Amino acid sequence: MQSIQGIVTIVQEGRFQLVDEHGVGHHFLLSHRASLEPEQLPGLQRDQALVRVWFEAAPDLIGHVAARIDLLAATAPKMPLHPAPAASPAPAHVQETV
Amino acid sequence: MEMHPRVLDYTHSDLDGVIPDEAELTTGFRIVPGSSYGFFTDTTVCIGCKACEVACKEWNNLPADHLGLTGDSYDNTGALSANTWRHVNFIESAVRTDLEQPFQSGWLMMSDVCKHCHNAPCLEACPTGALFRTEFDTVVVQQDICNGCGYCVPACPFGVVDVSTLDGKAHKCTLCYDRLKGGLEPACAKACPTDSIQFGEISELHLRAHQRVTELQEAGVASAYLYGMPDGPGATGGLEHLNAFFLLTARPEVYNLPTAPTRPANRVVPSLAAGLAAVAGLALAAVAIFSRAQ
Repeated sequence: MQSIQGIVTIVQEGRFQLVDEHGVGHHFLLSHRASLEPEQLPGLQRDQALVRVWFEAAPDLIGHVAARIDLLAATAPKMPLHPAPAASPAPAHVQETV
Repeated sequence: MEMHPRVLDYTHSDLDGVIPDEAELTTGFRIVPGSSYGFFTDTTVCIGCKACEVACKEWNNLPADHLGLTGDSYDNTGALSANTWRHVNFIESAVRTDLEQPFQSGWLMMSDVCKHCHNAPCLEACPTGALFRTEFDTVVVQQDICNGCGYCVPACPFGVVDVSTLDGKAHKCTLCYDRLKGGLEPACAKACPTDSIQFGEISELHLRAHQRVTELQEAGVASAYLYGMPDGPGATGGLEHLNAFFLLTARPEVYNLPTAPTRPANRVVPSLAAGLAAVAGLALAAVAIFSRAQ
């Protein structure tokens, strides 16, 4: 499963956008097998918390399915937040893990 | 439409924050809980720009889906789905036969959306109460309550509701419930450059729609009619009226809308009665056969 680190900037129901350290936005849907509920997402967005999202590719969709979110820091460090472009389908710098 | 006098309070491009009751400036309506709100979609002025689709996806953070070419003219979203809550139909047809050259074709375009029915069948079918009627008379799925049973999907006579296989929950247009609560008009209506999608208080929209039909008919468009008005086409079978209604110029099925939608709940009593009658008939037959045998 792949993972990516960043801060949650937009939340709508079970969907959220994560902005990585390069200022790139990534689009996620919370899987029905995820370890947290959609109502926990707005808290992450409010706190601008640094998180690591473990995800899988979504078929026929420009977005990813988030299976797990790990809280790395309660508030995000000062990250250079550039205006995030639209969610990209395949982040090049994504860490590949088993 | 006349400009609201409050517009003059916000003449700068950079604003300090959200404009209070912004919908009053953009639509003429102040959004108040307890009133009925909806969409009037005038398909005669739709130019198929898909700004409504994009605005919906942007505001609701919905991912793009159906990444391949549909092969269906300019339509790249295909249909309403769990990730597409606005869908612009492109229907190629001879709409102005008296004006067109032989090689020309005309287009009917319509931005389809959840109809937020007055008697919403999806809401009636939902066993968990996840689908509820809001204080703005719209129908919304509460994501934390939805268990993904999918009963709402076949209940909807318009094929709007869809269950996502990724998160296992039902999804559909919320009529931008969060925006309404903040005094903003829905994103699609705000983005529509031709005002084909008009947002507002339902009774006022009904008046506007009737006026528009009269205008069109006087201008020679005799085929113009309203779909989803009280007891009119599209509001049949106990639906009463649709909070998102349309001005059309061709038969409903041309726009992929049902001619006579009905509430599935209408069929519960006849089905139950038929079932009970069948059981009673079989029981009587069994009694008759066994009594004759003895």
